[in-house]
Amino acid sequence: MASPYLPIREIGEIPLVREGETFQSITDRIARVTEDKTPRNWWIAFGISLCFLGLLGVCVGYLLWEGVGVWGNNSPSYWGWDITNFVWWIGIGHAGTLISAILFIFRQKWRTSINRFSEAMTIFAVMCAGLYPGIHVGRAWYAYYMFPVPNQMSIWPNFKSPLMWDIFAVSTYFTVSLLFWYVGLIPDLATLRDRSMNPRRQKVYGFLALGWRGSNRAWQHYERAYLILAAISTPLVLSVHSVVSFDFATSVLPGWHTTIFPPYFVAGAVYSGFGLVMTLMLVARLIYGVKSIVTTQHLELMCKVMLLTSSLVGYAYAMEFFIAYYSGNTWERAWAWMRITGPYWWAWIPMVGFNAVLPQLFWFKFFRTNLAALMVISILVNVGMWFERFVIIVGSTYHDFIPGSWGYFRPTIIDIGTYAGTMGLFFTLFLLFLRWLPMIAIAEVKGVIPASDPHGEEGHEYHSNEGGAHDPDLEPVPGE
Amino acid sequence: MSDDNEKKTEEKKVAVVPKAKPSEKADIAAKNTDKHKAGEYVLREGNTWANAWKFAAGVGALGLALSAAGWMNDPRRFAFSYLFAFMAVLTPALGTLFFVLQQHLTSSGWSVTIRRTAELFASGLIVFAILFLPVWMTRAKLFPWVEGGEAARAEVGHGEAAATHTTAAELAQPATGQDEAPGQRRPQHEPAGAEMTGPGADHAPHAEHGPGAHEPVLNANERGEHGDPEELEAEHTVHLKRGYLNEGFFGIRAIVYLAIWAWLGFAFLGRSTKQDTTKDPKITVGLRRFSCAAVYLFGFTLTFAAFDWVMSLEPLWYSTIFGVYVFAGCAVSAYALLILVTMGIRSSGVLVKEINVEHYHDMGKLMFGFVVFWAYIAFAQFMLIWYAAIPEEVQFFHLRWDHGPWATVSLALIGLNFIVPFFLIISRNTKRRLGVLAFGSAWLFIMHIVDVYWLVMPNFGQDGFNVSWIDLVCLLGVGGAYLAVVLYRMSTTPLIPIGDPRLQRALQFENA
Repeated sequence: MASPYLPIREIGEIPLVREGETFQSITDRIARVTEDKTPRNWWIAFGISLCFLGLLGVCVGYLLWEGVGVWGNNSPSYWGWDITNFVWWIGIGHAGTLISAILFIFRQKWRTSINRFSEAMTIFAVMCAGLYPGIHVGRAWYAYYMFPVPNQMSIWPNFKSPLMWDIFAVSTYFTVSLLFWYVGLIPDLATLRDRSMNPRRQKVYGFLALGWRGSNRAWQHYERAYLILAAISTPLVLSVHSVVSFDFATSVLPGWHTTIFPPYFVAGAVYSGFGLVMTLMLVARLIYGVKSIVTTQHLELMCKVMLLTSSLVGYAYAMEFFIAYYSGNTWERAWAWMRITGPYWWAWIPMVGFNAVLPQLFWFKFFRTNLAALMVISILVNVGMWFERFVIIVGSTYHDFIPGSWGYFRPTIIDIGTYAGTMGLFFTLFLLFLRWLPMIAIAEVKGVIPASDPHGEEGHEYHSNEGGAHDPDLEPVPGE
Repeated sequence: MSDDNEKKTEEKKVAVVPKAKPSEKADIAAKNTDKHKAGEYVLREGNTWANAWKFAAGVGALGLALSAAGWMNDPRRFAFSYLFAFMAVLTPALGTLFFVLQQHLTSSGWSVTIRRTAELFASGLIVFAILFLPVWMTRAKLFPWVEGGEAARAEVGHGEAAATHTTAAELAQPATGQDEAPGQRRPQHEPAGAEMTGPGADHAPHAEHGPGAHEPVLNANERGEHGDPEELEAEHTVHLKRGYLNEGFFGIRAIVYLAIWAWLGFAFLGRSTKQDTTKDPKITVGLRRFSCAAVYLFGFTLTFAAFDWVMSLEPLWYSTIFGVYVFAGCAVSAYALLILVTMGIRSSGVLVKEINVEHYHDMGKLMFGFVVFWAYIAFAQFMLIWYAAIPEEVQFFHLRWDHGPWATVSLALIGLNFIVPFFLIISRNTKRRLGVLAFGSAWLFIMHIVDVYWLVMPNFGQDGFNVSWIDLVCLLGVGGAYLAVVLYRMSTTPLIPIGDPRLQRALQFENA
């Protein structure tokens, strides 16, 4: 009888990697990206990114020269775009760890096609985020105050402060994500080394591959290390954004202080992370010809994760508003009402619209498989998430307890420039990654193709390339 | 074979073969039919489990009869004890419904053989529609926001000695800040203090209800007498919530929740047993879709039921995460329950191969995950409320901390519902040693009951903390009635979904 792990077509299951892919073709497809001549479009994109990176340098330089006054932050909103962007970037970083750690533990094999890509994204996003607290302190040469180092008066930072916890949370997250990413890269770096004809490449990739020989023993250690790192990363997925949410929720400010913040922030973070993975993956699929590895099924599954996390975010919005009413507390009710009718109503509409309402379209297969729709929605997801952070940060502070000090936050050109600049930083790093490192985990994807199925003896004929003409995405699924 | 090798093998096994031959496309479910006859998985006459429902029914009947006696004897105690018992049994039952939803949502193969047990337990949710009636009838004694609740208070006031009210009144004081000891608080609350020491039956009852004692039901004279600004403020706040906290809407909501749960329980079991005979794979696809919509219904009904039946016991208190907290308890207790029940069934010689150590390993992992989730949610709720120390919020923890025995229970929840089980079931070894896993599950299930007790009973107020025989008989009554229905149905239904197209995957499942 057939292996129970065969896809059951009667209930809509299809293979993870498109039929026709072999060990050889997967290695070729992915490794070639780093070996062929750099395409012209890459140079164009890289040039644009570098311009924005330069803009970041200018904005940060001006900030350091002139002081935080160049930003729009002012009484009563002492946190503005800086913290908004910090939270936004940190959030985006969450998809990588979720995909590599949590989906790994849940045996979701489809993660193999997208994990490398999103782990890289995580690291670059956390780098962008990490910039903000450093420059936000105003006098950047005192940035070490954030760390648990006593100053010249032997005064330690306040360990009861969530800002302090943030330092620990974010730096741990960055370290573990980097290790996880790098450990996963080792076998693939060795593949690049072995394929290379160029001595310089051989040396560099050989150095980075840490002497990987692909022996059984090496694989055993590798898998053990991978599992341990996944186990360590899993609580990190939850803890980092929970701690970020504590920055707000430990206060007594209506709109900030609410007990659902930790899981709500985590859900939002995963949601925005998947949004950006989707956006970038759609582009990469087109340009680098990896459609047979990142199939429509992967995109659909990512849509479902976004639908889930968006619904959790929607649940949190609903709870916030319900409890604001239910509390009977004047201030709680006031902030809720001001969110909708106050001067920042224009930020609240995209927040709810793009985060809680729009992804509900993913209930329909049409939207999950229509690439244009996916592109638009995935970008709007991150627009919505940016507005969410803006609404939480500015929308809760501009009306404080004393009506006399109410204000209205306006960003300056430097705020905008810094934000655009971090995008430049992100894309510069990301393009370098695409150019020099395998964007898909070659070794892991091979594990999910039929040829690596030890029960495959009853279906040898399907391991050849002959099935290539058959496209499972186009096959109608019974019952759909 | 070392773990690593096992893991690699498994990883490869899950890998897929591209295309089924036209001949292989023949109904895979049909193959299941040949191997699995329905009769094989129905409990036989002589099996202990086939008759277990009679025992449960007996315990339930006895428990409910004694509960009725408790109602006669001490109506207010009964009201709280019964609500505790109702919630303690309802939460794992809802958790089993969540288990079913979860397996369909994720298209799980490994869990198919366990799913039927969960379906059976979820189908028993209809019982709560009847079991809810005493809660509805005693609402005036339970919920301080119920208008006309003073009748209940007068009733209580009679039987109780005035001395006991000191502690109750102490508990009843709204907290003003986390750093104050209860003793320091008194001078700041002159009026409340006066009420505490003042004689007269009409003062005492206010104290009975914990912080919820601040009621909108005082008559004008009483207001004039006391003039307690805090009480007036509280009264006004409760008044502002009237749009939600009123008896009519409360009743309608309860009907909606109970009807939805009963319907979902029936729907999943019904479709699944239909598949036992038809072997139609389309049912699996249909249930996957249905579970998407169902999980929304589940999430919102569970949340608002938690708000209505537990959170509103202290009408001034609120916490946006409270629904999630109750949900976490549902999930942990359901996993514990399913592990224990399936192990029990196995001990009678059925399902020994169908549910094996591989499945328990996975169940253990998920139970472990939800234990950590519970701790995460509980910590988020506690830490944020403690840190901000807003009086309306922090009263919840004062009520569970300022009085010695409740503080012990609070600490026990941290230690025994998180730290001990965390280390007990974190290891692969203990999850695969069924005796240890069963011990851990029983432990967690009992701690879940303690958790529910900790949520409900502090609001009873009298004496701060006391355990009554009524608690126990109510628990036996509600639990017995629910189990009787579930076990009866279990005795007539195949114990695994023999028509499920993924059945083979569960039967051949091996863990990484």
